[in-house]
Amino acid sequence: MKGIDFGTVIAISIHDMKNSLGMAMNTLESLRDPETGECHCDEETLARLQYEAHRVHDSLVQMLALYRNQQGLYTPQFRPVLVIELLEDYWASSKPLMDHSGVTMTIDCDEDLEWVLDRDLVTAVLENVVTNTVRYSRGHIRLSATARDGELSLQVEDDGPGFPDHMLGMRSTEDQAGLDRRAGRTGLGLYFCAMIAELHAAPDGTHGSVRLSNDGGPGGGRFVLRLPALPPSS
Amino acid sequence: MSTAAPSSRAGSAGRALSRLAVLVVDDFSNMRATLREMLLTSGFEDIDLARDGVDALEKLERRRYDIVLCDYNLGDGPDGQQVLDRAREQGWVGPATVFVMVTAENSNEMVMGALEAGPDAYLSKPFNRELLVVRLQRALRRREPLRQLDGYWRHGDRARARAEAERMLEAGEGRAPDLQRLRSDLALAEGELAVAAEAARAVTGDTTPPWAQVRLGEVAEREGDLAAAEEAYRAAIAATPYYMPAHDRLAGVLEQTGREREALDVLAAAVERSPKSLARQRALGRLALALGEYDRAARAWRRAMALAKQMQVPDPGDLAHQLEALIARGATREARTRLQILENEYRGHPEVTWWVVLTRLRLLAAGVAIDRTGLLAELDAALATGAPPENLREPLADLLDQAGEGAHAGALHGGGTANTAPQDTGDE
Repeated sequence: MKGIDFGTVIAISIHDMKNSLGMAMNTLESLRDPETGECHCDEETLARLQYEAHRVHDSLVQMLALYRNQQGLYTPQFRPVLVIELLEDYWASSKPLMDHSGVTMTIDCDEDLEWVLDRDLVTAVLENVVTNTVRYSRGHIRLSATARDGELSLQVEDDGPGFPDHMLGMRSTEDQAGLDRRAGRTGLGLYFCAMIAELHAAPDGTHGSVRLSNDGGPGGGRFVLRLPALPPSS
Repeated sequence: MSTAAPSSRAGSAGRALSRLAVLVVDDFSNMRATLREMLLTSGFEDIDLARDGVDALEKLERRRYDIVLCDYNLGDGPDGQQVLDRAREQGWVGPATVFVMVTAENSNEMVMGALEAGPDAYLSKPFNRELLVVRLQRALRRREPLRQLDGYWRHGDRARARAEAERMLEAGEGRAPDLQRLRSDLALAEGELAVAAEAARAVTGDTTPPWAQVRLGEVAEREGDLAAAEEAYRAAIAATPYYMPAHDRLAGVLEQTGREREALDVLAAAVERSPKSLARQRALGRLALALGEYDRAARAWRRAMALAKQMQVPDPGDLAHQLEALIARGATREARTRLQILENEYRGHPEVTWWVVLTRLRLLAAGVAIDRTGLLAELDAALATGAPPENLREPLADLLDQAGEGAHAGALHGGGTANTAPQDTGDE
């Protein structure tokens, strides 16, 4: 990761979190009946609050990881992980959000597939991508994982309109174009995903990568995180 | 390739769930209550609760469960992995049992220990009911087809269990890799090496599971081809460095081929990676003693002692070996103090007297002032109740010779004093 301007990271993150908290505050306000002072909360309101809380949480996780990495404080912990459990964990934690948006998710992954990776980092990537995908999909997200030629490929596909042209292709932390204030949350999110991919580096120098395309199985965008085979951390 | 559509599956098997026997193991009562509630809401009805590892093992011994939901951290006593290991070893958890490990932290020790004989699934706290159900259903889909086979297996009918696995493979029922593994295990236990190897080869492809590589090594080892065995174990380690049985096996082959020093290095590294295996700590302690690495030996035996106690299978041999290492490196004062622990803490264990006598003889040989008459009286009293365990006879005889008490050595081999050898609790 080269010369990231942490001021930009903070600006984008604060902007986004401020929006989320603003939404949450408005929603909370609406819970109380101004006449009687009674509180009533329906499921949809709850889901909206959950969604905003998710976003703030994701932003903070992301900001902390970017900061630690820049300060050289983060050492990835590469451990063997049963990939389907990683995907299922993510499915379960984001289910309220998907239910709220009327989105369903299918998981496609060999039950025995095991891969050495940093579970927290990869989960952060999934959170980042899926929170975003839920927003744009028309109702269906496909989460899948395959291993081929010594490489794990994690894919998030949807049936939405796809990514804008300027975001397509291989994403790397070298793409400084992707990270100015106008890039906003999405730009920062992609930068973050690319950083995590690159942190998964093998002793021979090969490292993970992130690619965006618009040939997703269900007809929309496709996000692919590729990770090389790594020795576990001792 | 399998497809899971968790959002649509949850609860679909509700009818069957009510009939499955579930054991929940957690040391916190509110966690037990929460898990029970989650299970009840999901359609399970037959739920037993256990409050720690000992309680869990008692329940597993008494009753056949379809699902075990077990916390990894269980306070004092056996942890979740030790419960699983022991239950597998005793056959209380069979091929059709679903075992799910609930974890709080992602500590290295836990993950490594778990991979040696892993559970069907892990669940990290906190988790919601939906995730619990998805995990259970995925494991059940995999284990359910093995119920018939499980029945034969439970009754020790390995031939029929294997025939059933072969029938299922033929008919395309169940998951082929799981069936091949069972088939290979069963064949190996029967000494059918060719079948064991053939089943392991059947799952060899782009990615060979580590058990299959190790199995091919085991077969080669039994056939006497130690070079091929070594190669297989090394290949398994290269492909899957965290699969610990390959390390243990490799150390065994190295020792058999006279490379004890290398074997020691392999075991020492394996213990670093995965310190909670009792058998591995003992193997390391034994080898370190033989090679004169007394500090390392004392440490390994101390850890073995703690693990055995935690798992409720205390063995005075662990402490006695530790004392042997201490005496060998000249720490006789410490050894003498700790000898009292040996006498007191293992009181009632059928072998304890022999280990105490052996340790006193070692102290005597090391020049420590020991009450010789008292020691010999103790030995005679022990001989009056039976012969010493097989593995202690030679060291006892040697030490008695050294002490100039060779006359007593003759009685050790059960020369008329006894015909019932104390129960051998195993040194593996």
